Amino acid sequence: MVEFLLGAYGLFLLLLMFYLLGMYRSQRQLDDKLELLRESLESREEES
Amino acid sequence: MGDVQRIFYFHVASAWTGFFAFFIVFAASILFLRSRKSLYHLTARASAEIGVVFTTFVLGSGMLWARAAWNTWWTWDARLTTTLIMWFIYLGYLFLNSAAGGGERSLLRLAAVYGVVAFINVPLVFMSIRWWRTMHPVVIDMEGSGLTSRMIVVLIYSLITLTLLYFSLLGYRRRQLEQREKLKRLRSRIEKLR
Repeated sequence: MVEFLLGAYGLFLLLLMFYLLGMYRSQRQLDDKLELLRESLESREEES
Repeated sequence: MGDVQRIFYFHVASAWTGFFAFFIVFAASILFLRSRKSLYHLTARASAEIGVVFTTFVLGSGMLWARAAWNTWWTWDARLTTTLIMWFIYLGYLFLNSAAGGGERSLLRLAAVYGVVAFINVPLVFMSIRWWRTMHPVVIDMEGSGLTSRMIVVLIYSLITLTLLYFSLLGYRRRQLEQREKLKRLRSRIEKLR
């Protein structure tokens, strides 16, 4: 019976990990977009 | 029941957290419809995501427990079926909310109305074991809980811990969604300047 308990704990950690990984991926994408925006603004400043 | 009974603390606390998360979706959707502030729409979106994660765990841990206690992974019992319907409803809400991510006002309003209406299912899930004959036990009723004082202490501990986890996840995710919105606005302003 202990395997069901461990399975449930494992499932909880797995779901939490997937959600946190999703958040991490989302944050990385945001950082990349911000960096691109910053670069494009800098190049525009140089041009002007 | 042995060790498998310990699933109870995570299972019940996760169900509570899921219900609470969906209540926040309901409340934030009403506030959004009244004030049109994006803060509320983002709160509802973040809360629905977390609610779906916790409800997924409730369904999964429930299946494991059912296999141990009832010798079946799934049965079309009222509690199980209404919980599955609730899970699908909020999954639908997340799809609708993603479609509204472009900032289209009518879609945002539609998502908020959906968030309000979807909450009808939550009391239905809670009351299902009281209204219909089901295999799922009623743990807490008017006469008491049938739990020992030690079990109640552990259950309360689990409830508080998972509620705090919910709030911290909600805070992080909402801030992230806010950043995404700000970045989108900034980009469109720059595009207009060109």
